[in-house]
Amino acid sequence: VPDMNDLIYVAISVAFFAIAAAYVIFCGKVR
Amino acid sequence: MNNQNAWLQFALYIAALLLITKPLGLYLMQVLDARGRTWLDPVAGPIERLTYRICGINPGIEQGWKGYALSMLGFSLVGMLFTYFILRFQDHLPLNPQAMAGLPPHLAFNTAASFITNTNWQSYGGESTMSYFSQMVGLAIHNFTSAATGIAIAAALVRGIARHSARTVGNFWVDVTRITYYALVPICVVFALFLVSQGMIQNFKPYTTARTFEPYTAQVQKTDAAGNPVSTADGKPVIVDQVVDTQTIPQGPMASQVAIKMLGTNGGGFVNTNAAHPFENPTPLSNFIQMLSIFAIPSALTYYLGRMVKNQRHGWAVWGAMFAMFAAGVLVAWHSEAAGNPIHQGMGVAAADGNMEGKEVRFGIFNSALFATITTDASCGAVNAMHDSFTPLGGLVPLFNIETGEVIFGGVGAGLYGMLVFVVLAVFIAGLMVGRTPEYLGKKIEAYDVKLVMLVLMALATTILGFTAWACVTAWGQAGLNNSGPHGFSEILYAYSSSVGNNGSAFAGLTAFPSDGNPHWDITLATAMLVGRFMMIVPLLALAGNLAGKKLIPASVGTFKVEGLTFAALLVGTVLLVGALTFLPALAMGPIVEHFLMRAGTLF
Repeated sequence: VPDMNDLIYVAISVAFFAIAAAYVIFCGKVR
Repeated sequence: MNNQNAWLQFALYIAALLLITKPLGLYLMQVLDARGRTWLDPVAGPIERLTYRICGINPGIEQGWKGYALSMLGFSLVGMLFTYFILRFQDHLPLNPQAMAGLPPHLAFNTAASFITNTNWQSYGGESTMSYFSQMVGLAIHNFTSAATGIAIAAALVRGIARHSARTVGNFWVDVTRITYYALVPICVVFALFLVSQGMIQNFKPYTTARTFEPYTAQVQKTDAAGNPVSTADGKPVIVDQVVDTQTIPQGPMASQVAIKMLGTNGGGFVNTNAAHPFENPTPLSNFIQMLSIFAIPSALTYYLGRMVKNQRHGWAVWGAMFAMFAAGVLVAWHSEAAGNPIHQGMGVAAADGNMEGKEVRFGIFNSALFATITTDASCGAVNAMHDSFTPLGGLVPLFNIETGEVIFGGVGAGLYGMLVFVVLAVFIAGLMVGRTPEYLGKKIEAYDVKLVMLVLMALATTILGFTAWACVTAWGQAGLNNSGPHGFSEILYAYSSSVGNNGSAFAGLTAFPSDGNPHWDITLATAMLVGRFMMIVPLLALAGNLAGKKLIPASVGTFKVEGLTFAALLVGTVLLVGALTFLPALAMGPIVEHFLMRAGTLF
């Protein structure tokens, strides 16, 4: 059964990719 | 190095690599063109079209660089969560004859990050941790998808360079689908059958228990009836003799995984000793072909580059620069290992032909040095010898190879797109030296392009050095070490270089999964892998998009030529200079000082 640790690692994964998506916007604006 | 057989093998390797570069490059041209034709169309075409229909993909529509990047990120996130849950709950899934338990959360996180980033760093031993289902569905599937993603990114960058006044760089979904169906899967089917012909296993049997020829007595901690370790009243373990007369021999679907592990420059072994294991690398021929398969696609992609930009000499110049650094690395590693360790030699315990510690006797000095150089030039990370046991300078070669950004042929796709970053930088430096606006294949290299290049290079440098510094000054960082002094430092530096570079090999003295369950190593290494992959790809795709939109400038007498020896030498100089300026201080504290201390009689 998934526990709190799983929630934390899923949250870390999603957060990283959200930051990477934000980095897409940053790289478009860094001119 | 006075070994004619080894020189012959080296010559054969180079000849074979040259032979496959053009035909495979031409084939990839067709694969990476959404309207390309291949002889596999009758078989793969219907599957490709069905995939598009199921997934709602319109192959006729291309994406701008942002759409391409976001598709890649979304695809990777889903893949990471998919693998995380397979690993966590493998004990509830099929194909688990050894009844392997689910992985602890931090190890599942580390491994999922490792395989979606094409790193294949392994904080676990495959045969003692993974069910067959996890190996095949959780891990091997990413060997295909992460390799396809790398090639797709390289193709997008090459399109950006080749096109002008364009808004799009390709369709990520189409690229990944076509690379998988037309290149990776068919080649791996043939490759896996070849490996089986060499003696590699491919089955779903439970592990075999065999009786050993020579039983031996080991001292182990006594256990009670419930299997718990027994200690004395003052906490010391109670030691008893145990006669060991059986051996557990792993089984499993190995050939299907090893084929893509090498071709896709993934590197994660089915078993812990990777390509040093007789099942995972049964013969000298399997060793040779495995080494060749690592460089096959990266080498062919340089030909693809030349074709796409309509300047084949540029493609060969990039190939030549890669080859020069590769050959130099092989010779340094081979020489260092052949020279051996003077301390061992003084004690009379060293093998006559050099440093054989940590090497598979079947492969010997040269094939270990060659394999180590190839696997770290590329972002493969498979090993047939333990890099931790190399001499200091022998170990410096794989470490520095990774720290160049793995652009010496490099990972599938990753090597070419990494090298193109250095090409842009080299052109920029050349333009500054002669006082002209830098141009690359008819396009002006402007401030924005160079900013993006620097974002790529800074992600590599800051992540490797930052995490290394952090681990060096913390208790959790030092707890993972099995060696002290400069060798221990090299183990830390290698771990983060390997992770950020998405290589995956290790200075195996490091224990990333300590017995106390401390998750620091697993979490920081996973973060390093994710940053090393995606924080480099995003600015790189921005570069692709920006280059695609530029107008072409007609060539003039002052145009900087990106072919020939001068350009190749400038490119090599740029790669080495950036690598040395960034990492030489750290290398001086690790393998370089260790070399001098070894000469003075000290080992770590």
